[in-house]
Amino acid sequence: MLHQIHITAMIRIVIVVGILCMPVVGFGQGNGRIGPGSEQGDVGLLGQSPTTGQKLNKKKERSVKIKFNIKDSAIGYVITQLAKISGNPLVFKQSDSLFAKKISVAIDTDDIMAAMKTTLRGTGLVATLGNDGETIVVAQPLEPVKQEQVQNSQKSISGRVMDSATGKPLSGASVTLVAKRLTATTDDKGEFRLTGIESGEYSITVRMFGYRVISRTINIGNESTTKADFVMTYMPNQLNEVVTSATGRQMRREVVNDVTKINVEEVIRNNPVSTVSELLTTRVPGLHAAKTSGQPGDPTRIRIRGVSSINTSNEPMIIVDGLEVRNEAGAASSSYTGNALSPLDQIDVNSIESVEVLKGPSAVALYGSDAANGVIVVTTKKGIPGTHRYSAAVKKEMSTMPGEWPLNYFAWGTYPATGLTEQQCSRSLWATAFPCVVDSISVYQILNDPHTTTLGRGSKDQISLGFTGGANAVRYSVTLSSDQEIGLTKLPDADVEMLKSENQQVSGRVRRPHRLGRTSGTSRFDFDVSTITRLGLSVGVTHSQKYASPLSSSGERAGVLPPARQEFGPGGELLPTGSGLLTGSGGFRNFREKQVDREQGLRLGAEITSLFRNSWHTRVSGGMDHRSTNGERSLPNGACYRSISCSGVAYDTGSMQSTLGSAIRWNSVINVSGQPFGHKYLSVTPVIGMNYTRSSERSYSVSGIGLPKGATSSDGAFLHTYKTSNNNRNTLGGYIEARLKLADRLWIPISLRADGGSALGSSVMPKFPKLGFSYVVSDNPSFEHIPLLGKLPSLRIRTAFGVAGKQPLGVEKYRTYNSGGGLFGVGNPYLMPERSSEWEYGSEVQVIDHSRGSLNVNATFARKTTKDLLISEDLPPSLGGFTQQINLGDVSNKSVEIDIESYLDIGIVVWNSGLSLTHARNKLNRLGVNYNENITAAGLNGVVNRHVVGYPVSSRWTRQLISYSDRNNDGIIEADEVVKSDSLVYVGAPFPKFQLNTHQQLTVNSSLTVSSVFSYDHGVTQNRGVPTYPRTSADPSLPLDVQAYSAHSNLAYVQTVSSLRWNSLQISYTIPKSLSSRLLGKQTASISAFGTNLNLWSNYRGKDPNVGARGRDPQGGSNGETFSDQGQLPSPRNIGIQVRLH
Amino acid sequence: MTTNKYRSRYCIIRGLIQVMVVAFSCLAAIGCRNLLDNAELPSGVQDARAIKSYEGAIAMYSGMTREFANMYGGTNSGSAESSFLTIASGLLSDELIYVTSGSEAWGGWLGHLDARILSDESDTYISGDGLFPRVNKFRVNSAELRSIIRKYASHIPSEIISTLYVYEALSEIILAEMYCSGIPLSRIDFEDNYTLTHGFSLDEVYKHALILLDSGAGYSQDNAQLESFIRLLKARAYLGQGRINEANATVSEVPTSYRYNLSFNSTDRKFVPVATRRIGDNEGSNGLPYVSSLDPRTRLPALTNPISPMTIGTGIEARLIEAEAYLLEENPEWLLRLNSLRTSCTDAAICPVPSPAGEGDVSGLSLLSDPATGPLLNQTSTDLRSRLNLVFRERAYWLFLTARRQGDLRRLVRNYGYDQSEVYPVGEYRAAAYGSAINIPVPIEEQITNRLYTGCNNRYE
Repeated sequence: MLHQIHITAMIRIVIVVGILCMPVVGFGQGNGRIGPGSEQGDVGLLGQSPTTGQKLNKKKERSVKIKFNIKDSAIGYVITQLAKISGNPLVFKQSDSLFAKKISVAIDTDDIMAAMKTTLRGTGLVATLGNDGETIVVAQPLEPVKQEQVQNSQKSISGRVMDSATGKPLSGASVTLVAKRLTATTDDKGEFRLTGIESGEYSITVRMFGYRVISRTINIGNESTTKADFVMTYMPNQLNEVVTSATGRQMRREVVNDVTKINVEEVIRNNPVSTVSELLTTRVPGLHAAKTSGQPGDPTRIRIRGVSSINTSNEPMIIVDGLEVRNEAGAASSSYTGNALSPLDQIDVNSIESVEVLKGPSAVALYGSDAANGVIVVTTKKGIPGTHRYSAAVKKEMSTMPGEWPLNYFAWGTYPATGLTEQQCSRSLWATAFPCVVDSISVYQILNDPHTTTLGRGSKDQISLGFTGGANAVRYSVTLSSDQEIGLTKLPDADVEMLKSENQQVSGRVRRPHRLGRTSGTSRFDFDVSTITRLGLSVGVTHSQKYASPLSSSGERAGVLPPARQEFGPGGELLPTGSGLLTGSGGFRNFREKQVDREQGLRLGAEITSLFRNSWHTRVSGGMDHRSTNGERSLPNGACYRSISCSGVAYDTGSMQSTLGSAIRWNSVINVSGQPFGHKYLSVTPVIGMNYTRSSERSYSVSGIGLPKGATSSDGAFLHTYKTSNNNRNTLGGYIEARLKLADRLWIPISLRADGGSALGSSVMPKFPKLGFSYVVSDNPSFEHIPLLGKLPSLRIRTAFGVAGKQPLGVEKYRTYNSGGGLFGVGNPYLMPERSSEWEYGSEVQVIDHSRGSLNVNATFARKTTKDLLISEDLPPSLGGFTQQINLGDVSNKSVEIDIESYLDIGIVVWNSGLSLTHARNKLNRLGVNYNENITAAGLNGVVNRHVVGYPVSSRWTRQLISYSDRNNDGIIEADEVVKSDSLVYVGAPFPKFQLNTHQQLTVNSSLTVSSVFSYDHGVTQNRGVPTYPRTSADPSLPLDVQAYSAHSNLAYVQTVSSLRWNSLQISYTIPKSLSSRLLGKQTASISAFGTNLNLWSNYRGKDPNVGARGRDPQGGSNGETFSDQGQLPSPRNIGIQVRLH
Repeated sequence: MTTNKYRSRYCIIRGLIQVMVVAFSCLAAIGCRNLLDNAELPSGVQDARAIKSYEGAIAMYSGMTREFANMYGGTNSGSAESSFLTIASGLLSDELIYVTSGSEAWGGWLGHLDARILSDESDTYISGDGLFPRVNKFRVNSAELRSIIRKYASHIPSEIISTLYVYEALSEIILAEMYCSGIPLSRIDFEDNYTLTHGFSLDEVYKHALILLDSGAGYSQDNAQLESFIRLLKARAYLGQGRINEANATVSEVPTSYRYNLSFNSTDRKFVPVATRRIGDNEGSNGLPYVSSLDPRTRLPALTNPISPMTIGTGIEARLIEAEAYLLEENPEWLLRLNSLRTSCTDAAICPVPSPAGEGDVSGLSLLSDPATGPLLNQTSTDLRSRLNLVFRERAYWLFLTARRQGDLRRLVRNYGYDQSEVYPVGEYRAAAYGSAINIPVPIEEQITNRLYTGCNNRYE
């Protein structure tokens, strides 16, 4: 009796949940397809049916109490739910439009067949029980699926449908025996069964939302049951794919914006991807990623749909398992190594199931006042019920710097005006006042000489282990990873030899100063607390250690040494000077100076989803993201070896700085979506939600100068300085949304968010509206007669409008003080957030949908306008040189994004292809203040980044070359022999106008896979800040016009670049199942060889046009988005091997 | 039993969720204001509430002292060298000579300052980090902190309030000595916005400084140390106005051994001039021979000790002011005053030779009274200019590199009728010639951003 009550309650709950789920996940397009199960639905509780995985006997099924009241639901859906509850196999002809017919029915019975009968009353359909006593057949009485067929046949097909990447069972997949028009739907274990089949050869088609359709021929022999398993491959950009929005998970067709979703396992299996940044690079139309440098652990700058902000960060928001994590370099960041570790790359890519990129305000309006730059949604792996499975990946790679470096030409001569002789002539130094008369030229490049180069061979080792398993009620997934990387930078061999000869200690760290170590663990546990309540817990732990030397922009790394006149041997080699190369110039100090950033991260998250009062689906989540940093920079006593100057201060006896930081972000989110109301043509689903985020940062730093010999801390320093800081920031917001649905093909969400942030104060609560529509054109009889359009398997058009914001950096609204010096900021009590509004228009077209091939095209046009820019305005100097942040001006970004995905199955070869194109335009429309317009004398002699109305933000400007003349007839165009324009002229933008990325993958015989990625971009104007001296600046044998170009040194460094990069190639071989099953059981194994950054074709005269960081990059600052290679290490070339068990 | 367990568990979960929903709603309804009243603070910045307390005010006061010392003497990081008062004063006058270093192009702002070729578009104001905004920041900070103390830390020792008046007055005196007539004295209004002003004449600025000093005296609580400093500054303001007798009367009670030091420790303090700029030696033909005279008072080494106190006021200056006043009264005491300094100041420990970067190597002071090496002054000429030149030379040596020389040269032009070419460096400067600037123009940025400001009243005043 107790059991009976239990089951009844569970059934009731499941039915209610099922009903609730139906309009959310969407029912099929009148073709009898069943909506997705737990993996796709917003509610996702269908898979938790109490009958799942149970084999109730027939008698018990009949006696189960079934009581529910359902309105406006498709017949196919209702009978499927009934069959699921009872556990009976169900056969029906899903293509029959009768099954899409909406019915309303109230059932109160303990007999499944009686329930069926009640349900089908008046529909023209009947339900009968097969002679196996279990299978229920629903059909029209005279339709092809005859009852006799079922009764006369004892044959059946059963099997499992699984995800190719994860091995996860797919629930809700539709398995159709084409000839017989029989369809079965997979259960939570991914299992299906088709019965009532005669012997013979049949074609079976398997369809699943978001996955590629597969067809296979099955031979039914004499056995009563034939086994057939299917493995489906994820296919992005399908309309039925489930994607994330601020209000929860929805099917793509309901979402009015473009969302790029990356199935991570699929990507990392076939491509050499180690970090989330690498994952995103080249895979998201509209996203531009640029590496800060090629050093281990240096972050990547990510900009989505252009740059909107001048003074605030342009970094996107990051959401991990529903909770916002830190993505800014705050007070607690440690950046002794030049660039703080990227928060995004602290997330272990092996632990991620999917990454979604929500690109603009129209998509992220409901994320509120910090989301204007887009949102990156990371979902970690969930446990797969069933037997415990493990996966492992071991990767080993080697890094080198490809190619030769440009030669440096050193001119030598005299300065008659000063009497200096045997000097290195300089173009930028004293050029006007003291011309140099060149008498000789030496040619050298320190980085091309094996004996002197500061670049060696790097290495990287990565190992990852994953465990997953559990029962239906409790599932778990655990991923553990470790990376160890050694950068390319090294102490030159020449210096090592010299130091050894003088009995100097040269430790391993000094020889190879750039290193990165990272260990991480991620786990997720899902508990079905009850039939309506699920609890998810996720934990992420990371520990990173990044070592570097202060070589980031120094001559040693930039390759401009040696500064003094050198002697060369007959082979052009540099002759020893006796003092060592770097030691002789002070560079050895750079190697001895230890710089380390350590970071420990702990992320805890909990999410409860439940059905509240049988009407409201509730999702409550909360968690924290804690980062503790510990950075240190130390120069030991004695580092100023051989009397080398240590920055000219008296305390050359060593120094030490260290910082302890702690940043914690608390999140809590509540989202409630109600039951849709209305009628069958028009229904409205209400959604409300709130979130509260509190970010706290603390840091404590101490610096000391004058250390005792051998000191390892600053305790014994001669002089100490202490500093503490404590920052808090809160955001509180709420939203309401009404999702309108018309006739199952038009969706119109209308929503509004009100958001407050502590950077604005409690009196300001900006509102962020959102509106859009999504219309599925295909499968509409009205369009069937239109040529081409009527033939398209799938077509959707969409438009969205939304507003999102960006809060000020911090305390710009308030008067602030600095205990180290008084007034810090004047404040502006009228400050508001920047507001970005965006119109997005797009369409997804499936041109071909065939088991042998498919072609999907996704095109989007977006126009984003950011108003009320947060700009620092200079206040009069008589107030003390302060700036005040004000809201003024606007920036527009327009982008066209096209994504084409296709595959072709020609038997043993399957070709997957992806092509994404982005054309982006950025323009500063209005500014209103003389911001960044004051060009200094230094600016007039260089390449400057300016914010000028009518041009891109942070556009590059320099003076134009007007004319030149060799006035002193020495055959060399000097700097003072070049006439430049008085004013600056625009030369370009620091972002590409056009990007094209392509992914190609060939799979041969399901075992050999070749994947390759190419990327092309055009329009980045690079400021090649490396002050090398090219041949044109010193060689009189060159034509004067070439020399003139160089003599106008600005032009020698600024260049608009086009580049095509061969990003990666991976060849993977998967061990045949027959072999792996013997060796590894259910696991499979693959081995891969890969290479990255394989080649670069570019007109760039520097080394790498796509690497660079300066000014605020990558996390933000006050000077806009500058970008320059400026001595940064280019991307190295990596080759390696990988073994994966999965 | 099973059902009870299930029901119990179900009820707990449901109850938990209901509680969370209610809690959230309550939070939203009544807690928004409190939740949003915290603000993110950049590194090193104090929450305003922390400053608005006794401890906060003391901390800010301490920080301001450090800022002043850095502005006055220099640091080894960040700011451009012209941001430092002693360098700007030294370059514009004859104390320092600009030397091109390896990383600078000639013709930059330091060169302009040294060559006295200055327009309001000169690069003396760079990104809010020039001398003009730094002095003004100190000025508006002093007023702001006074307001904070009055409202939030009223029990703070009134000497601190007095010192803040003194600091503000000192800032104005510095502006009047260094910049052209037409100096805006804009202010940041406490707990409000800001107020811009037009440019004030030099006399108006000095007058305002004197008012501030009188106000400061009212809070000094008869603190002798502080009162002496106020007297010195008042005298300096009187000198600027040409009111020599008032100046003389004001400093009479300041003992010769008096010294006003700023003491603090910092890793970034550095006295830059001597490290990277050459000491002037007959610069522009009429500069003083600071080097070749071998005078021990100008032989300050490169002082980089970050913990030594910075002397910004001494009794020596009081005696020098008296000497100047007596000279104008034709009182022979003027020469005695000068010589008495030479004879009594034989040791820096007892005679406070001022130094912007702490105590230097002035061990040779005894040579000043040694007839063999540094004979006592014996001025027989009755020509006032000759005598004035002697007084001002003694001032230049005693107050070497303490940002007094520019003010003195300007006084010679404004108050004593000298032509600028008689006292400032003139003639050939590298490949060009010295200009005629006797002060620094207020940066052009003031005109751009302050609608009330129309520029200097007179570049040659």
